[in-house]
Amino acid sequence: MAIDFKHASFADGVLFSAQVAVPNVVQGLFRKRAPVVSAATLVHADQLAYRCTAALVRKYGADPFYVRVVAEEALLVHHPDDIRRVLEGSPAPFASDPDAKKKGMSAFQPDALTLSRGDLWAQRRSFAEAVLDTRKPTHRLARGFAAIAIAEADALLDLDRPITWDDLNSAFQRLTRRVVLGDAATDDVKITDQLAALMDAGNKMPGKPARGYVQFHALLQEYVDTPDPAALTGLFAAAPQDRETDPAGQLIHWLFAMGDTLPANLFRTLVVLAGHPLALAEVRAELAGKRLTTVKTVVGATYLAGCIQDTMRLWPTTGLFGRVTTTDVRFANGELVPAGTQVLIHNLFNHRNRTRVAYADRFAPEEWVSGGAAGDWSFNFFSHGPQGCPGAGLSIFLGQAFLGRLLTRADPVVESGPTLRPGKPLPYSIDLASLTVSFGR
Amino acid sequence: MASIRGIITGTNAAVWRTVNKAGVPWHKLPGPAAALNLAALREDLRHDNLHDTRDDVEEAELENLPAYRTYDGTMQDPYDAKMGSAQTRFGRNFPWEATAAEEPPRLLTPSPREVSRTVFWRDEFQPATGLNVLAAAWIQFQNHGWFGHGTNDPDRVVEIELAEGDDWDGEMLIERTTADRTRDPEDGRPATYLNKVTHWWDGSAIYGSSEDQNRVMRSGEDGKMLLIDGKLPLEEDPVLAGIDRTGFNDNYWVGLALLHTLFVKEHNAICDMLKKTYPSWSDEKLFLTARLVNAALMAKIHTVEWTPGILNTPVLQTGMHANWYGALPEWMAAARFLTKAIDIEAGAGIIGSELKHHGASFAITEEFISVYRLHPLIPDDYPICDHRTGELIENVEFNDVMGNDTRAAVDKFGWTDLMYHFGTEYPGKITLHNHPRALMDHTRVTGQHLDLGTVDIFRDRERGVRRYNDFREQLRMPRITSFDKLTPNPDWNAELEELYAGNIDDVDLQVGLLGEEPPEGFGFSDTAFRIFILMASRRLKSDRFFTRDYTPEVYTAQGMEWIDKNTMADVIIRHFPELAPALEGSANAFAPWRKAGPRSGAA
Repeated sequence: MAIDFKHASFADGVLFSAQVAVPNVVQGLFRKRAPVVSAATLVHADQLAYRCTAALVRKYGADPFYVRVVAEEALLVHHPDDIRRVLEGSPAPFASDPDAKKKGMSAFQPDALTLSRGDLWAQRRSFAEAVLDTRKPTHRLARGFAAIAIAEADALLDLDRPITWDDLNSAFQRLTRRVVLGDAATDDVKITDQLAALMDAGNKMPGKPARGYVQFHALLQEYVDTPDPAALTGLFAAAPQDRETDPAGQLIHWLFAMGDTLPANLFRTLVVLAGHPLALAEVRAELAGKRLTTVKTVVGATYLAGCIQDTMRLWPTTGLFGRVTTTDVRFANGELVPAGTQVLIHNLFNHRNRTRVAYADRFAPEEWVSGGAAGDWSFNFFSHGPQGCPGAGLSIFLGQAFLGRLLTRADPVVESGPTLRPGKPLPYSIDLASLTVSFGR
Repeated sequence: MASIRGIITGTNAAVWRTVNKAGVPWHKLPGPAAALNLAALREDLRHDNLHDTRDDVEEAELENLPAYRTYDGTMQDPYDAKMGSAQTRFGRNFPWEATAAEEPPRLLTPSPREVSRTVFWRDEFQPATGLNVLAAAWIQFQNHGWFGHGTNDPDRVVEIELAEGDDWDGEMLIERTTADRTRDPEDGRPATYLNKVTHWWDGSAIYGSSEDQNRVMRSGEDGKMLLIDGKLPLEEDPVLAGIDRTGFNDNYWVGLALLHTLFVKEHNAICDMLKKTYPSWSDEKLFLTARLVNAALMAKIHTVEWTPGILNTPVLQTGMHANWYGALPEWMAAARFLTKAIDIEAGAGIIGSELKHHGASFAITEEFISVYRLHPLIPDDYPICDHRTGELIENVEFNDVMGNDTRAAVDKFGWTDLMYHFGTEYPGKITLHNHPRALMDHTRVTGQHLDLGTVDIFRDRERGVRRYNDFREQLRMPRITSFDKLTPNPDWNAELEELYAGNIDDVDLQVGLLGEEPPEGFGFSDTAFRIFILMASRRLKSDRFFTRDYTPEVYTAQGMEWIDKNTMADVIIRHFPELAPALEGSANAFAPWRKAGPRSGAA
């Protein structure tokens, strides 16, 4: 008889579905539904989700266990060793295209790297790595990107009024268009708007490209066909590719990861630092007397990088993510997981797991600088393993340059939104729409 | 809001005064009632038993208060720069008129030496089986951070007459406590004495009580204290050969060497954590912040581990936990907030509450020092065993591990086996006929030959600490009316009646404290405990770094987490990981640890 992992009870499955899986879907898998997120924050949905998984882990132990998610059972993996087993084994035998994700992402990036398998995945991955300089310490266009980030930060400060999420998001969308597509796209907000509409459609998981995708792709293709040497498109020609790569189809992912996800994390970082004066002083000490236009300065701001990474840990933009087994898989003690099984990794829980993470609920940038956080497989805001985010380094670099500029020029003050103070456990969610930050100079 | 507190605490105190007067002591009551009774006793003690001896009290709000503990303890109180600092007077728990020093002939009647010989002499070691020797060393370690009368006055010596048959070698001379030179000798008030260390709970035993003293113990890098091959540097003065250079090293022995070194190591570990967290911080800022954290960790360990260890009853377990954390759980945030707002400390704890001195500037008191004369805790014999096998390495005596022989003992046995010994063996019971023999025939590093039992009696009389019955009366406890009610041991009572010539009111404080039958589970007397419940809370409540400035802005969030999460066992295991098996399953590091070897188990 095959050894099997434990199966959570039917009642526990109902609870997990109600408190973890469904809220995750309802808030928007790909593009957050602002009113729903605000309501979820009010009812502490993320805290309930944490408690639910924590209770299940207490009950079913350290090994993975099956839990019912609405209609079918999924394997919940939470121990860092098991998470490692899964992520090191992606995309095969743990493919990153479980059904729901595939159905949703097909709406706005049907040819995405993460939906690819086999040789096609390998080919698209090497294209992405070549353009994003994944394996290099810094991106070859970093100097220009830093200048863009600084300019956008300055523009934000020049508004000379408290800023909201929309202000920061707009600034970052502009930055993203410049970095990915080139200066010609600086004010091409149509691209951003079209992508938003497509991602909204993706939330409904249509399972096929949404209406408008073809036109959107054509628009991007125009930029690809007229590459800007100072932008990522300028690197496409030299990157390995074949007829199936679809470079325009690949950059969609970068547009939303850089334009939406990154600024969401940076806004939260700004708010945390406003309430943590000692950490803010460290950021400033690290940058004192240095010019952010120098790549070395930006890269050397490791404490600031730690601030951004720890914000990503504390409030992961992807609360729950999944893999699906492509074949039967045996785990360490011989447990057999059949092909086609959905495997879930609950970032929201793993990142705050109080029994494993000593600094679970406090702001701990130092753990990314000289602690063990970077090597901890519990933290997966950039994922890990072969399918780890190829743009992670570039993303942190842009964040360092952008926040570095803001924080060395001004004092952030939270005008509205939660008060985040050291010594108090940080909340499980921060509603971006609730935040207003002013800058004292 | 204060009036609400007044109504609540006043009513509670009035109720329990009546109950206690009716002859029902607090420790005979069920748990919740006993806790309320103790709260009432503390209120009365705060009202009646705090007396200022200073005449230089200032009352102006200070500007630029430092966000750290100063080297000499100044600038700690927000209104009174000198309060609690080194070289300021000890306070009193009794009014001036009840603190007059005894003069001859009463000073020497009955002979303190005879008291010592008759009722302190350890016929046979009486162990305290709920504790380990680490608990004994710990209280000495803490005492040295709170008080020290300094070097005695060699120009004022009292000769103690020796009775016929006393086998003391030579004459017995006791130097008197050095007088308070800040006093006007003509003011007609009883003598006062100066504390040579800071009164605050600031770890001065390891950090010292002046900047000069502190600087020579610092590495100068990353806020760390100096350690050489894992040991403290040694004193250079030949008289102090073999003794660690540390904040307070009087009466030094391996018990203190272990704890001083352990908490210097802990200081350095805290520096590592802070340096990691705040890489831009200077040596000085790292040092000062690490000191805050380390001192608070020691205070927490004392409050929620050592104290419930020696006063092992459910009500004290709860009470001491409440002193630090509050009795209300964290999830009852609203109730905690409310009790904090009206300053009911039991709700959310003293830590982080409002700073209060209760009418007298903060100072350690002479009476407090007297009740902490716990010398019976010290054993005479030290069978040092291998921590891995439990096999005996060598039997040594107290004299082999103290004074100038301290470092040699450390080098000979090593930290781990010594710490293992202190964790697994019993200390002495705090009672009559249990003073360590070694200390009753003790030669200090200065060459002074003394009987510590005699000194224990003499110091109380000399410093005007009341004799037992008067002491009790000042605490509103009933006087003992006859010798047969003094101790539970009829033989001892007979000895005492003869010693004090039938005068029950002459019985010395130390004799009464050691003879008294403690409440069940207690390691010391209820009389001593009254001073304890007052002063244990006061050490926290009067200190801004445990009250209004116990904040993440001052300590850092990581520092507060360090204090919150670490226990004595964590500290020991961090620096002596090989002792983890001995501490396995231990709920309190001051209770006997698991012994290694074939007959492994608690001592």
